[in-house]
Amino acid sequence: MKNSHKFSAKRIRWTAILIIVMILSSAYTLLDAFVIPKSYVVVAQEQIGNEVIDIQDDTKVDNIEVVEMSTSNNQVDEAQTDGVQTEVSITDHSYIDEHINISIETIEEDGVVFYVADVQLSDASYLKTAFANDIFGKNITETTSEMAEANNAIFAINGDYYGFRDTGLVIRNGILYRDVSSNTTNDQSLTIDSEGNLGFVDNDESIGTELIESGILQSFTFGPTLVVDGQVSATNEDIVSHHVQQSNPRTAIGQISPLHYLFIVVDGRADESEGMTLQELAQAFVDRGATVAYNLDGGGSSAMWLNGNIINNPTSGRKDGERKISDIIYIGNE
Amino acid sequence: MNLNKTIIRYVLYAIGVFLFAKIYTLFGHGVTSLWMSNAYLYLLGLGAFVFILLKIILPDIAQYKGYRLFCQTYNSGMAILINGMLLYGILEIAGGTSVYVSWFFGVGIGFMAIGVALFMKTMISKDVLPSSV
Repeated sequence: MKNSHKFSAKRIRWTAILIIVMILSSAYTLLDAFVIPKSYVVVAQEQIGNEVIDIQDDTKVDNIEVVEMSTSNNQVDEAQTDGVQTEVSITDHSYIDEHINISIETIEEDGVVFYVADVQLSDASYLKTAFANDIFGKNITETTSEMAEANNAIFAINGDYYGFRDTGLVIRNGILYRDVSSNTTNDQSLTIDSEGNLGFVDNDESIGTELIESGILQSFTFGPTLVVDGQVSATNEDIVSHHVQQSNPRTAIGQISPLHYLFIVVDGRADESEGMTLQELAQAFVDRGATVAYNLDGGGSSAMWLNGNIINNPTSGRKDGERKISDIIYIGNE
Repeated sequence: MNLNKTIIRYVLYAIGVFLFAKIYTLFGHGVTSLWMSNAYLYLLGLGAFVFILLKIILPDIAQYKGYRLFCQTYNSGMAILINGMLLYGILEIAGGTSVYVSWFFGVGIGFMAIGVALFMKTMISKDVLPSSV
């Protein structure tokens, strides 16, 4: 009996210690995942390739003089770029200059509101990405608007929220930041090469260095792949059995032809718009002629920004407004 | 360590984890996690079912020396493992990952393995508790 009591006391002590350790370690795991900011690399201008720096020096968009046109929300700017006059036409839903043509269409269809940005560029260097606070890290976040404004963007959408995960390939503006293969169910990462073409690579191996050597400038790991060769990626198991199957706010990028892109952002989790399933989103790209398309971070992160204004209605379903995220894809002169 | 009590506890824990997963998923906007949804099955399969088997095959196991230590270690491992599954589920639903979750799986399975080893040792030695002699 004495032994039994002794063991019971030990058991209670052990159980108490175990519970305390589990609570503390669980709390730390969740804080590490959701709250504690960690900076891994501060992106200095010197880290960006020479080609990009040269483009920045050439354009000097800060010197744009705005000339008001006849209508209040339709204006033409004249940009003085090293002696070359560039005409810029800006409306609430478009931006046109000699290198960049962006037009956004708002579509209401079957209880879903979504925004299709048709973007045509003269050079792939106008398609860029940015990190929140110019820092590659974890839990370092800004809204899409803040990042777009900080980078003098013309147009921007949310990226893949790489900072919420510890794995997944991260190449941005030609720099390899993370080469840890993703062990998620999403089987492919999206890549953008120096010609501006979208492609896909498998997530099951670390091939970041090879990709950089082959001229890949950007990569995104979220997925799944929506469209391949102009067809809904229906054979891809992720699109059929993805764990995010219900209608939700979505953000995705697609390509129609060289330097011709589609960005689709879908409103969701609201009375006005329930959102789209991945299959519906993929079909929306196919219907508009996209040959390839890839799903990015959605839900409360989904945001489309043009000329200083948010175009869509971002909401997490519980809280309206832009969510702070870790990265954006943007179109910009600078 | 009464076998019946242990079995009932595992069933109650499984019900608790099942309800937690169901309620948590309600707020997930349709995003689900198999790890979280199925965690209760591990409690039933590796918990309740194992002890039901022991009760059928070795009804007098409680009198063996080392059995209580086996229970303590094995149950601790199960608790850590299930905790890890729920954490993984929370992160998966949010779209995130954490390197630390694998520690829960590793430590949990490690404890369970030690528990099984202790059980095997008990079965080989067949030493009974002094009070049972």
